[in-house]
Parts: sequence; C-alpha cells; structure tokens
Amino acid sequence: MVFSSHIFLFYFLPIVLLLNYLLPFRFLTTMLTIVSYTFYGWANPKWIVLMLTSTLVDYFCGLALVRYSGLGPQEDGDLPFLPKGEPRNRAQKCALFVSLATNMLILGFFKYYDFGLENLNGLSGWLGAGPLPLPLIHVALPIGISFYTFQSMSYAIDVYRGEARPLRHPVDFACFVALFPHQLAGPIIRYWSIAEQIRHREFTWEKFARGAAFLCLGMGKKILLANPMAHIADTVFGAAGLRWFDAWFGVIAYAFQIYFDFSAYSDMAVGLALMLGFLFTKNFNDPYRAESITDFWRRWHISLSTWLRDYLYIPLGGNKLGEARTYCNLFTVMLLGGLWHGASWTFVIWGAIHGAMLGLERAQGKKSFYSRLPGVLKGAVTFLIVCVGWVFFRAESLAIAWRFVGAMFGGTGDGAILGAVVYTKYHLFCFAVCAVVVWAMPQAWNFTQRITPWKVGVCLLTLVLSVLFMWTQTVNPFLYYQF
Amino acid sequence: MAKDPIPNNPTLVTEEASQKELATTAVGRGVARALSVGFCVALLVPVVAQLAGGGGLGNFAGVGFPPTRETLAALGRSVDDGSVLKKWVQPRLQMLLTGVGGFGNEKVTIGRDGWLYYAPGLRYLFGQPFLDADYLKAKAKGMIDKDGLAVAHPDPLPAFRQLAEDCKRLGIQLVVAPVPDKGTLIGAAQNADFGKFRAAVEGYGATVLPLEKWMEAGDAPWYLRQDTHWTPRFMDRVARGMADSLRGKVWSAPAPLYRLRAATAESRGDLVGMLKLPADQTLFGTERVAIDVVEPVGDAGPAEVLLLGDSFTNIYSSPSLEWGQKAGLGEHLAYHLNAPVDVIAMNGAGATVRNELLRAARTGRLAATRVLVYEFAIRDLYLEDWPVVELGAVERKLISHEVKAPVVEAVVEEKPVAPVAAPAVVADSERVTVRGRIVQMSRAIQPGTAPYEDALIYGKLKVDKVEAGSYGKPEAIVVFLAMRKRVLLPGAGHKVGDTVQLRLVRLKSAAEDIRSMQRSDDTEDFDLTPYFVEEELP
Repeated sequence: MVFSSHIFLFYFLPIVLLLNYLLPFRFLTTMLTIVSYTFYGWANPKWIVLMLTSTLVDYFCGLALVRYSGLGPQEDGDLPFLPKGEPRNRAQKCALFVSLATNMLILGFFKYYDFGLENLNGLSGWLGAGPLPLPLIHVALPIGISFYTFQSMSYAIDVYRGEARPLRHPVDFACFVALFPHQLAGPIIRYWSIAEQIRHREFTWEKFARGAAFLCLGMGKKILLANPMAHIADTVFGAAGLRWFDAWFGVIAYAFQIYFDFSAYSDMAVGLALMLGFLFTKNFNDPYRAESITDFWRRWHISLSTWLRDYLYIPLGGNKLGEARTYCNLFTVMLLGGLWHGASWTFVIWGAIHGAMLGLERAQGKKSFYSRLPGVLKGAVTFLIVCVGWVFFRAESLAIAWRFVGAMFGGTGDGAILGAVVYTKYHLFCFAVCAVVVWAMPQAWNFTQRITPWKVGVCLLTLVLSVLFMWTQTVNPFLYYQF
Repeated sequence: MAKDPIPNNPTLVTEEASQKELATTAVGRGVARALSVGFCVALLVPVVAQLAGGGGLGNFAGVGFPPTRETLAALGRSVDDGSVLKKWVQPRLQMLLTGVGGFGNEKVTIGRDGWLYYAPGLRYLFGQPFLDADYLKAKAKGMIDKDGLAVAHPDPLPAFRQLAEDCKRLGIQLVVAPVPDKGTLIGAAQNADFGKFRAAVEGYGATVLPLEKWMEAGDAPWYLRQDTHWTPRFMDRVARGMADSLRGKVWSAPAPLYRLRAATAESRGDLVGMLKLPADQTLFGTERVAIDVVEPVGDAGPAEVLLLGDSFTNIYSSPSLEWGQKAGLGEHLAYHLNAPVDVIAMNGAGATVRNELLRAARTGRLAATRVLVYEFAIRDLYLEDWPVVELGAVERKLISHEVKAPVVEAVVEEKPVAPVAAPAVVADSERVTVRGRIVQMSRAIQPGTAPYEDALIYGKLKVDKVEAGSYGKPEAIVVFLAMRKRVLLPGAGHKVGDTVQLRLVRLKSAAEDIRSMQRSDDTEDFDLTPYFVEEELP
C-alpha cells in the first residue's frame, strides 16, 4: 500500500487511528501488528511469508542469546540485557550467525542472485569457460526487503551486544519489524531506539498534531513536488540523445525527485508514528545545503548512515586500525551502501564516488578540497558532485550513465520532442518551487517544531492540495520501495 | 514507575536527540486540537461524500479469500476510480493543468497550436535504442516488477523471426508495416534501433514497408490533431503503397470490385479522451475529416491477403473509434488492390494481435492466405511484450481464381472463411448458455493507464452444465466486456473460483465494435473458440 493513495489515506489510516485510540493499550501491539501485515501484504500477500520468516528467526535467535547466557528473567518478568563487553559463548555466536545468515540469504536471493549469477557467467565466459549451470530466476523484488531485513538484524545484533533486552513476546517483536509507518522505506529504526516504546508510549494532542503536520507536508512533497520532478527525470533519463542543458535539467530534477520523494516518505513515517504514539528518528537534515560530501552524509538518509557506521564500519575496525585500514573501511562501507540500494554496478559506482570523496575529504581533515570557497559556492559544488553521483544511481546501466555524464559536459542533439515533454509551464514552475523549498525554506522537521495557527493553515491547505493533485495522477509508488 | 521511552545511548547522540526533540513540540493545546481535528475531518470528507453520493465504498466483496495481489489491486482501483469526489475534482483540475500549465498527463503531451501527442509514442522516438541489451534488461525488469508479468519478452526480434519462419513454411509472404509515430511531426523520425530492426526482419525474409517515406509533403497533415492516429489521406497513401507492393503477388479482379463514396467523420480524438477533461470542456473542439467509404460493387470471392492490425487499421473502419466506418486501411487496401482483404484488428494490440492470428490459423482462416500484412504502431517495438507465437500446423487450401474454386463467400471479418477444424467445433452452437467455474482470468485492465476507453478481458471457464444450446468441451474461453468509457464493468471483477452462469455468443459473431476492442488475454489457449459474454445470469 502506498501512503499517497486513496485507499490508504481515506480507508486504512482512519480505521487504524480509530482502533489506536479506542482499543485498550494492551491490545494495541497486536492490532498494529495485524494492520502492519495487512499493509505489507497489500502489494503481494505471498511476501508476508518472507517478513514472517525473518521475524521468527530473529525472535528465536534473541531468545537463544539469553537462554545460552545462563541469565534468567528479571523480577518484572522482562528478559535481561546481556552484559556489555563480555565475550559470548559458542552457542550465542551461533544464534547471531543464524540471524545474520537468514536475513542475508533472504536479501541475497531476492535481490542479488540474478546480478551475482550474471557477473559470474560473464567472468567464466571471459575465462573461456561456459556459463554456470544455474538459471536466472527473474523474480519480482519484494518491496521493502532491504529495510526490514536490516531492522530485523539490528535486533539480534543489539541483543548480542547487550545494548537492548530481548523481547519475550513474539507479537511485540513482530510489531517492531512490521510497524507499517517505516516498514517499506525507512527510516531504518534500530531496535534499541524503539524497544521500550513498544511497551510504553504516550498519546498526546501535541504528538498527534505534529504527526498530522508531518503527514500533510510529506504528502505535499510527494504529490506536488516529487511526482512532477519524476516526470522530468524519467523522460530525460529515458532519452537516447541529450543536449547538455537537457541533461542537467534532468539530473537536477532527479535530485529534487529523490530528495522530496524519500524525505516525504520519512516525514510521513515520522508523522504516522507520532500519531500512533511512537517517536522515530530524523532521516534528513537539509542535505542539499551540505558544504562537503562528509557533511552531505551527515544529512542524507541518516538512519542508513548510522546503521552502516554501527553495524559495519565500526565492526570492520572503523578508524582504530591505522590510516590505510580506515580508508579501506570507509570505501568498503560506501560500496556496500551503494550495493544495498540495488543489484547493479551503477549503484556500486555511486557508492565508489561517495567513498572516494569521503576518503579525499578525510585526508584533508574532513574538509572538502573546495573548502576555501564562500559558503554558497561550497554548497553549489557539493550539490554538483552529488548530482553526478545521482546519474549513476538513476541510470539503468553503466553505459547509459556514462553517456549521460558525457551529455552533461557537452551533449548536443535533437531535443525538440524532449523539450515538448519536459519544458512545460507546469514543470518549470514545479522545478522552481522545488529549488525554493530546498534552499530557502525550512524542512518539515524544523517547520513543525513550533506549530502556530498559520502553520495549521499551511499544513491543511497542503494536504487538501495534495489530495486534489493526487487524483489527477496515476498511483506513483515511492522511489525507495524498489530498494 | 514507567520506564523512560527514550533510551540513553551515548554512542548514538543524533538519533537520541532527534527523538527527544520530537517529543517536545511547541504547540498550544488549542492549536494542536485544531490541527488534529482539521486533519481528521479532511480524512473523513471523501468517505462521507462517497456515502452521501451513493457511490459505494469499493468492491470489497471482490477480494475473496485468500486475497491475491490482483484482487487487492483491483480493490484499490475500485476505491480510487469510484470516488465521487475524485470524479468531480479530477476533470476540473486537469482542465487547469492543461489550459494554464500546458501539461497533459502520463499519456498525453500538449504540443503547440492545440496538437496533442501520445506520450509513449514520443518516448519511442527519443528513447533508448529499443534493441539495446541494457534497455531490454530494464524493460524486462519493469514488466516483471511493475506489470506483474511472470515472464517478459522485451525483444521483438524473436517474435518476428518466428512469424517469418511460420509464414515461409506455409508459403505466405509476410509484409510488415510499422506505422510511424505522430511525434515524427516535431522531431526525430525513428528510434535509433529501427534500422537494425528493419535489417533483421528483412533478413528473416519479410518485406518491411517504408511508411515513413510515404509521408509526402502534399499529403500533410499526416496525423489527426487531437488523435493518435493518421489522417484518412495518409492512411489512403499507405493503403496505396501497400497495394503497389502486393500487386502481382495476389489475385486482383479484372473489373472494379469497389467504389468510393465521399463522407465525413467528426470526433474529438482519443487523446482528448485520455486527458479526462470535463464533458463540457471547451479547450478542444471536434475535428472533422473527409473520408472515402469503400462500397463493394462486385463479387469479391475469397481473400488472399490477410491484414493483421491494431487501431491504425480500425480507425475509419470500426465504430469503436468513432471516426466513421467502412473507410479504414483494410477497405482502402482492398480498393487499391481491387481484391478482397480479410482483416483481423484489435485496438492497442500491435503485439498481442498475433494471438488472434493463431486462433484464426486453428480455425482454417489462413487456408487461402498468400500474403500476411502485419500493421502495428511502431512504438509497440519499444513498449510492448513480444512473446513468440508459433502457428504450428495450419491447413492450407489455396484458391485458383481462374476456376473460382472452392467458392467461398465474401471475405470480410464478419464472414470469415468457413472453419475447417475438427467436427466438434462445428457442433458447438453459435449461442450457448453455460454454468461453470472460472479457472483462469487474465490480468486486470487499468482504466487509468489503458490506451483505449473500452476493453475486453479473457477468462477460462470450467463448464459444469450447458443450460441452452450445445457445447461439447469441458472448458470454454469466455470474453467479458471489462471496461466502457474507462469505467470498469462487473466483468472485470471476476476472479478464479467464481461460479457464473453466462449467456454466450461466439466472439466473431459479436458486434463489430466489440471485436475491435483492446483486450487482456493471458489464457494462452488457442484451440478453444472464444465466446463473448452477452449476459451474466443470476
């Protein structure tokens, strides 16, 4: 189900809110689990099996981690934290391995099997051997799989590290994994950050109002800004021959699209969670105002950056094992971060560009090589570098990406038809509004920190306008559903 | 004492801080209530309006148990399309977007001076080369992930190779006629890979007609202003070119078989329909064109030319497109060739019309065919799924026009060559009423994205009882009318397992506008004769 759809907004959401505020608290977790599975199964009921498998495996691994520690339940009936910093025994390591292996297998099979096999076949062909005797499976990628496997894994890791206590009740854990506001496209909620909220949370007018404000603004970003930009970006990235300004127009439109689309989802997720009593974490912080790539990664998809830092970069040794190893770790994390987005070399290159830039900036004391420029120019250069990265992120193949980059720096061609499609008054207006919102307006998080009567008007007007325009558009899923 | 809902984790300051900040919004109680209540009211308005407007809340009963991806998607669409408020708002807002913003929608691009273009056709022109490996891979992924296909066939060449091989085996000359896109009026004439496609298809032994070269200056405009299709003049030019290329390869009557009668046709055009503007909109008026209706004046005899086509064949011929009748490509080809032409054409079916060719082959309709002309919109090469369709064994009975034997009546779509298939087929009634259970349904039609306003959907029925007429097979292919004027009909809502009683008529005997409609057919059963559902009985 898509947040920006008629059935979600006017059927699913009112029912869930009604249940959330009418049912006694002890039923809420069960209710949220059921509606979250309904929400997930809407796209394809068969995929529920995958989420359930990941959930059950991690739940039992969590229990096993405590059982094999020899610690018993606490007085209040809760399971205990594992002692931090102490070595774990073989059985506990096994339990963690099962959790990680199961999630990586699910993710690997559905997301990377065909990609891996194609590359192995290519390699074996290059070496003169025939293709491997394995078929390509061409299965549809279950939506949100990258998000919920990471979230589910974080539980076992947090319990193993002693940073969170395991849950006794499977429904509590199923609720954490499936919770519909964040299940399909994040923010990636680590278990420790929400563990207590599953059992204890407050419902206030303030939380509900801010949640509603987030949802209204998120709808506006998605429907009024991201979708028109998607029309431009899809058209330009689908074109064979581009003039240089068409290419720049297209990639900047894509930069706007991915930001407004993804941050809209995050805003709506945060808003929905607030209305249900949960506190999620911030996922974006004005990323296009960053003045270096290091700064960009502190502001873009913060929940992924921190996940990768805590569960990959630091376990790899982080910056504790010498300079060379630090750069190697940094680059590896960015490559894998790229690959997390999709099974394609274009994502690997995107990760490599960012990894290389982060390495370069680290070598200069976490400053960009253009750090002496005035602030506005630093932001502009950073944005241009990010845009070049987006070309690889968006392009359907490396060849197309290279052609696109070539077009950005000197492309000529017949753009008459393309021009007729993308340079309409409507699209140019939306493009300009996107630029203003990105660089001259507060983001939803800051805008809603203090809610005044005129902001109430802005939010409700945005919601109404968004719904009206939603009715002129075909259903347009969020970009990050595919990851 | 309640536990602190926000744990204190010193290593993750950003997350902790953001959660704490979120918990402390600066908002007065009154303002918070106003926003909360306003938000809830906004959520409830569409449902209240729906109930007040008597629109129904959606086809929840159609979901069934266990729910499937298809039934849930259908429910979502029924809720969306059935919204009373949306129906009121959408055309008016589209009017604003089109009139002021110069923007159409996903299907329609607004050009200069009131010219409208079919957006997918434009994408063919400026898009990636359609035979490029990367493009094919991305196309296949989209077909599986977004369109729900189990297996994708993005590359059109294998389908053409198979068709050419089948034609060669049967002694039929294959003539391919890809219709240039209207977007050629404003830019590139072809997709970068069209030359490669032409060379490959010619290499398979087929003739590829150069329709783009027939766009002669004196015949402009070649396309209708507000419609996807060609003008009668360009269509006639193509028919003339086709006839020239076929002359000598098939029989032509020594005396005129047809005459022309001047008429006019008037319509707003399919692209205006796709914009979904208010019925009383004034942005786009009607367009009137002169057409030449082809009238038979002699006994034509059996056809040696079979024209397989899509809406470019149906326009000016089929009532489904509302641009007049008996003046289309098939009729004009027959006129210029002075020979009968058999026509199989369906709107929006450049790629899938080959399924109908297979059905025709199984019923003996290809027995006398010497030339197969395959017309399709060129954009289909870029956009459509192209599964390989093998014709298999086909009975042949070529005609000798000198002795006029065997004698077969007029060869038009309404009266095809008499079936020569197994006797069991003959035993089935033209009309039959059956009761049974649906065991297969094709993919649902989507009003928002379908290129035409009307559509059929194929299903397979396990026949439990024949209530009237005779029908001797355990299963039947049943064809429901799924959509009219972009409104889904109950026929579209059927799902596997439904028990139904249907009054059926052979599809080839259904009304002409029904036969030319676009269709969703995933049954892959070409041995059973399709029956059109005239009525669902309680």
